[in-house]
Amino acid sequence: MKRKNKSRISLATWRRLAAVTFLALLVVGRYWDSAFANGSLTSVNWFGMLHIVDPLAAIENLIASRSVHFDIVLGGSILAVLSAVLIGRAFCGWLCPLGLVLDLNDVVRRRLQRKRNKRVGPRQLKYWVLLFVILLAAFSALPVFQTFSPINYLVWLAVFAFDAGATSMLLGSLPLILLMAVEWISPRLWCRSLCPLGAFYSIVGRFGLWRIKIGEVSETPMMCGRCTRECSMGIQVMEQFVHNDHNAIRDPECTRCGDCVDICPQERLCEGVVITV
Amino acid sequence: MNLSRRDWLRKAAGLAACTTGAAVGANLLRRSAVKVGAPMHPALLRPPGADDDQAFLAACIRCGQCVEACPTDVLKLAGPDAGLSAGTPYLIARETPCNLCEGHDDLECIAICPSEALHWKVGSEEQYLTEKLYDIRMGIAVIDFDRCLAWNDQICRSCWHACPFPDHAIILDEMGRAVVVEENCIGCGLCDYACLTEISSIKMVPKGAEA
Repeated sequence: MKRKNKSRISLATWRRLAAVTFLALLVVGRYWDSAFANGSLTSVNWFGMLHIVDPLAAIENLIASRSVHFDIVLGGSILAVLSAVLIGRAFCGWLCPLGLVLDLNDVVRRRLQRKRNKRVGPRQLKYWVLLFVILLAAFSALPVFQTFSPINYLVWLAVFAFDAGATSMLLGSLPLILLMAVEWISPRLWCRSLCPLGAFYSIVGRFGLWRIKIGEVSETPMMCGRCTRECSMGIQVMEQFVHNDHNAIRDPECTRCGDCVDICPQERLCEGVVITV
Repeated sequence: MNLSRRDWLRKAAGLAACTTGAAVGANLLRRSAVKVGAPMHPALLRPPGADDDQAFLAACIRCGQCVEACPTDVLKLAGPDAGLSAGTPYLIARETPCNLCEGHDDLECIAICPSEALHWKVGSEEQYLTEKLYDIRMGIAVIDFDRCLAWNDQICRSCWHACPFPDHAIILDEMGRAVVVEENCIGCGLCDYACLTEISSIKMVPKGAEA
């Protein structure tokens, strides 16, 4: 058995760095006068030239306002196409600010909570939530999820902290506190079972090329199963080992967070571009 | 994929539940969206270029780019306590009135809005740049005649001085008292900001909350 090279920077570090940088850019964009990262998660204007729009927000806007706006459609399709072609659901693992908070919360929780928690909650539920949210936008003509999304609450609190009054700070942090408390019962319940944005990326990014690759092992592999236990999305990574002709994790819900890569004692997993059909 | 009858039944039930739930929820939200001033939907003074509140809430994508783009930093982002208006821009005229981007070529909030929730009405940008005429009504100024100094036999014309359209939006009558001309007032709030009385005697009533 190969020893794990401890000097390598873990993927967890990289993805936390990416998410922190993204959020920091939004906050800096608020207070720095030049237009370089204006806006919050639903729509960010980079360098005063390009709006990059959250695809679910774009869909809700389209449905709720019953009209097509060029900037929204263009900006929304950038992330959707990127997800479909390359990154799949990697937004959740690498950029999502709420994912970052839950992730950091998890670092603390693991220190304090010795008992291992079951990942309860049906994964299918979030697709129903997505459908519900879209129907709600259609029937009410309001972008309802964008108005009550805990992800947006978090970004508003971070970016517009000095505009918000005490009441809205309190109300805005309530869902976050609730979600962090839920972590103690079922880690990542939000991402796995509830988040409609994650459901959207799971559907659209089904064939994204950048995946967790399963490497060849010449000797008889030790099936320790730590990857399966570690996976915050509850993916049966071991099963993908066994019944998989493509040597990659094909589950559309994989956020490419790389926890399984980091944990694998045999270094059988790595991230990379894989063509799978 | 081989779906059994039970799976189909479960899916059908899910679809029905989703649709019913969404219809009921949407109805409730819609009702509170109509009532400007209700707890879920406080009356807020919107930036220039916003349509009436129902259309604005539908079109606004809640990104806050207008708040960041505002050169005078008068726009604020409504927080979660604003209910249906969470994440939308507003301003408080008494604290920070809108000076309509004086000295700028364009209204910056309208220029940056990606979803055209803030937008020029047809042909208006041209008019704005040439004739300085506005159809970007945010609200209407309403004078509190009991409190107003000029209406209580004293000499004051602060609001008239502050108004970007003196003698159009605010006129002085033969006694030197301020009168708002509703069709010319755009609700920028400069008069509210300038008012000398401790509690302002000229208040902005947001569009849609007039009644």
